[in-house]
Amino acid sequence: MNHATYAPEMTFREQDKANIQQDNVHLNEALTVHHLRIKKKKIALLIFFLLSLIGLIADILIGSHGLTLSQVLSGIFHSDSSDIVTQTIIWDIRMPMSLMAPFVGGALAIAGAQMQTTLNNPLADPYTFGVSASAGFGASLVITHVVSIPFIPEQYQIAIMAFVMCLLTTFMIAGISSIKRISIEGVMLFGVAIMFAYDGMLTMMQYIATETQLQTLIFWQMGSLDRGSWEKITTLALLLPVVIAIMMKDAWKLSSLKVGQERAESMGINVNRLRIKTLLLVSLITSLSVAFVGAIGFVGLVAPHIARMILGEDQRFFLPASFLLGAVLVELASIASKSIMPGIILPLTVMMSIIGVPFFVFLIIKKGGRF
Amino acid sequence: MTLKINQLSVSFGKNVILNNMSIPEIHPGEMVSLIGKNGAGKSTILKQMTKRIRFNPDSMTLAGKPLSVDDIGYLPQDHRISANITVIELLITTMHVGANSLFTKARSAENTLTLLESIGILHLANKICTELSGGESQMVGLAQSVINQPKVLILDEPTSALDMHNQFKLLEYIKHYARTTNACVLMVVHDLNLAIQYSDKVAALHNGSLFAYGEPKRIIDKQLIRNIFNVNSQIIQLDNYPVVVACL
Repeated sequence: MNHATYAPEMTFREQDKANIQQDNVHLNEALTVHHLRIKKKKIALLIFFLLSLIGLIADILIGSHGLTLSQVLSGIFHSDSSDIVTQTIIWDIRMPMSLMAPFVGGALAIAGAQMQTTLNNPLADPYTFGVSASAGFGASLVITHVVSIPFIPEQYQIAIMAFVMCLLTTFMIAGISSIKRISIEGVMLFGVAIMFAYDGMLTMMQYIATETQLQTLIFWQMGSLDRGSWEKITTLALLLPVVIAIMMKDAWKLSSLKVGQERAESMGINVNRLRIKTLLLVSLITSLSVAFVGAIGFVGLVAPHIARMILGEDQRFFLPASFLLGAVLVELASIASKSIMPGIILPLTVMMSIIGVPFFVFLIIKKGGRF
Repeated sequence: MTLKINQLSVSFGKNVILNNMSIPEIHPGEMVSLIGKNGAGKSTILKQMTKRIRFNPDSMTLAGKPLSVDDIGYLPQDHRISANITVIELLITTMHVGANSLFTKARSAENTLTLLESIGILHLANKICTELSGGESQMVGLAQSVINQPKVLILDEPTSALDMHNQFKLLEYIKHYARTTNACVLMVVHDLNLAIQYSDKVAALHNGSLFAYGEPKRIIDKQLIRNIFNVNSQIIQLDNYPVVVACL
């Protein structure tokens, strides 16, 4: 052994430079590939946006009362030239229903995306972890008059109780997730247990409910956009940009969570505060979505996974992509729910389960049951 | 900017991990290796250094002020990155963790690639982190720990997943980084020969206390190895370098 091999000094650095040249990997090439990737992501976001727009228009177009594209467009943009029936169909029936789809789909998708990021669990979603069920149970407490908040209209009481229950459940799951010896699968099973528990309690509520209350409760579990109203759309349209802006402000930090808690802390990130803040926002948007249209399953699971596959997990792209894909999915589900049996609107949960359950199974098989 | 570790105590219940442990001043540009058997408290010291909030801030100071996480670059033992992003995206993200704007700083991609080139892993720039091998992931972890030019570099078993070539490549880069930026480097190393070759000082820990401290050539001898590892060894002098050979 000679001294040169024992104490390499710059030998290795020089050697590696030679290797780089050998591999024909040049700095400029790498830079071009990176810029191209960023460009592709921007294009993908634009395509998702256009798809959500097309989905929205298609959703407005489809309904039992056959309206043509020109009738719909003139009804929206030149309402004076349309007859009163067309105007009523477009502005009072179809638009409130169809506009709820992108808002609710987007909200549930970013809720799922952020649950997956903050809990570091690819199976997390408001529906699979029982968060939606808890919101439904919170709502049922108000509907059956078990709980009532004075001086507040019932519609908002429902939203408040849904939020409170969502909050409780989300933080219960966050607490369980923070216990190191519990695996991702363990947390998943805990979520399933929560879902069963709330389902049981919801059944109890159904049992004590009056006939009218029972009808409302069952409707809740099915999830339907025909409860959409301009008031609800305005609430979501005002709230969602604020929630997304707060999440986007933390985009760099949220992306860094994937390197592990210990390392993220060493980067100066207050992981617990970030997790609590994000889960609070997740609870808020999930509870409002469920309070407004009932539980819609699997959007929060499917949309972020498609976004992750196409764009990766840089939150600057991942978050808006999840939102837009969530919007597209619920729009498609809404279109399908109206088209399969003409004249009848099928529950959205049924439509989403047709897509969601196989996807969920696919995820488990793809990962070989290991996460 | 000297780094000081003063009277550091850590215990979990009745189990004392570090007992009032102090390490002499670590000077700028100096590389210090922590050696000792498993459970001696090496990783515990590093973990205490990387904590955002410390129970006693004066237990670790840099230039007389409590050590802040902003001064630190850290490569943990568990270096696998489970993010579905490319290496360059990971490094750009690390660069912007404290930033409020979503726009990247000027030339951040170029600077990242220059760093990858200087470490010798430019070919990994556009690879997805989850597809990296253990060794590649460790090299990328090194790039991540120095991307913000920290004044203190903390490395927990940085060569554990690396082949011989990459062990030298990584340690050569760390030495180059320490010398050019005047950063203090503190690392846990199990291979005593690497510790001898790449450390200015070695801190030998035993049962949560500092057992010996000084230049590796001076303090690593048969007696020390016998005392802290309970292993018989021979020290061979090769080109003025001591080489540790364990005797079974």
